[in-house]
Amino acid sequence: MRYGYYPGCSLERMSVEYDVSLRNLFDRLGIQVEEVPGWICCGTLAAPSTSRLLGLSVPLLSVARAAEAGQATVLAPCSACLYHFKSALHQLNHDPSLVSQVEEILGLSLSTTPNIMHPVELLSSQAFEGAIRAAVVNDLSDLNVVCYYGCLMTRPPKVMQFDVAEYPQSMDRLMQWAGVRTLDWACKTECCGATFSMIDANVVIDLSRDILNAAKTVGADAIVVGCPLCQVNLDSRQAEIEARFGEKYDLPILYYSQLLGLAFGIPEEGLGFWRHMVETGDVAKCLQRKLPQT
Amino acid sequence: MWQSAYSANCRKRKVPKVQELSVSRDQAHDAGEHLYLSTSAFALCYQCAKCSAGCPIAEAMDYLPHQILKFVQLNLMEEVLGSSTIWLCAGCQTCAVRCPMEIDLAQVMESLREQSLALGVPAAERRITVFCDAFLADVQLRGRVHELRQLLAYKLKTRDLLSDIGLGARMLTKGRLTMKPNRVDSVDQVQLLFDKFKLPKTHD
Repeated sequence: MRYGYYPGCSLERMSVEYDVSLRNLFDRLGIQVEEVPGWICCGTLAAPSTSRLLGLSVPLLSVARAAEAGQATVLAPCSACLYHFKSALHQLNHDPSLVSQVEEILGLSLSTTPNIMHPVELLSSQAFEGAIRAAVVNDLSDLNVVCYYGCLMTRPPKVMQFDVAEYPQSMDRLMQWAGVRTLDWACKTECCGATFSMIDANVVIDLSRDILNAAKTVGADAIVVGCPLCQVNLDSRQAEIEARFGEKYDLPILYYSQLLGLAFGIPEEGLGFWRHMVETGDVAKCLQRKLPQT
Repeated sequence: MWQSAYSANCRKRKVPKVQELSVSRDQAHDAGEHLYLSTSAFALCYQCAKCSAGCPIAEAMDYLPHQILKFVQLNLMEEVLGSSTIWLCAGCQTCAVRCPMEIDLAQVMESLREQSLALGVPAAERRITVFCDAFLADVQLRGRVHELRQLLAYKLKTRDLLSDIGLGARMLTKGRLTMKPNRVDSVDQVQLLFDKFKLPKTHD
């Protein structure tokens, strides 16, 4: 099946490794994706904080363009973009008078809109279990990870309608299919501080520290994430947190797509580990072991 | 006593009095009427304070989230619109999940920001409005965000060029920040969209 694909600004430069590893993964699983033609930024918190209609129009321009291109389902790998799309569509559903206002601003029709979902939602559906299990060639059973979903992949539930809002399991299931052991922990959906990284780093340092501490306490070797903002905060601020509080974490922050890619034997240049701030060497090393051929 | 990194800077700010704000009590009152979320949603709040208990940013706020709702119920909008709370909300949705009355507090905060901007109330967290402006200016110009350019615009406007300079340099070497320009093909439509709203065209 063909899917629309909305990479979002982060995956275009700051988090290229997520984009590359995800595309390679789709390739392996035979999932065909096509970028939403002429997609623009989702507007994040800045657009709806300025004006409600701007906050609806900016994300819905890309949605309308996807609909125009005949895309029935669009995959949005950044949880923040995903939330802003789904929230805009949710508001339109609950207040139909907004539809004509937004259509007039955009000059595009919103009579049919695509279904927007996170790639984790697609990949963790039962339909892919067999394909994922069958594609695994590397033995990752030595690796203990915690899955970090962040704020927006599942929340608020009435908008996102995916998994359990505060204790989701989808990404854990995905990792288990790839042979990775996932640990229970308390911070699956705690906030990392998101864009405060650029406004007041202290907020991110405190919040991300709690997450890193919780992961270390349960004995995780790495944190698996599904959002570029979470990845950048936990990865790029880790050295600063270690220095300020005299801790040592050495916790690589990996995308689920990178770990699945490793399990599938996708070569490292197709996964972009060199771009991480925290060394991923140890994880990559424990992945040299091939599964016995059966 | 252990203090977290940001509570050390926690603003023990004097909450602005009505006369210090540039809006009259009447204007602020009208703002309460214009909130796009039906006011009955606010009336449902019975002050259980679950939102404040779970809020990750609460310790940096001048009012706690449940207090903001109480002010809205009492239509004490000048307190609300001048507060740092409406700007500091990170939109993490923890409150929206846990509210027993299903009030979408994160969206309430969004609408309060909009009202505060519309009335020209000086934002208690100027850094955040400057950040939003720099962000939207970039989207308006090219359709997509260029992190490096937008960060520089923000850092210049807040005269804070030195913090994070080491991190920025490391991110440049890792290719996470790049000079490479990006631009959507059909950027005209984006500009048409933004032209329908009164926003600053460029950074002043």
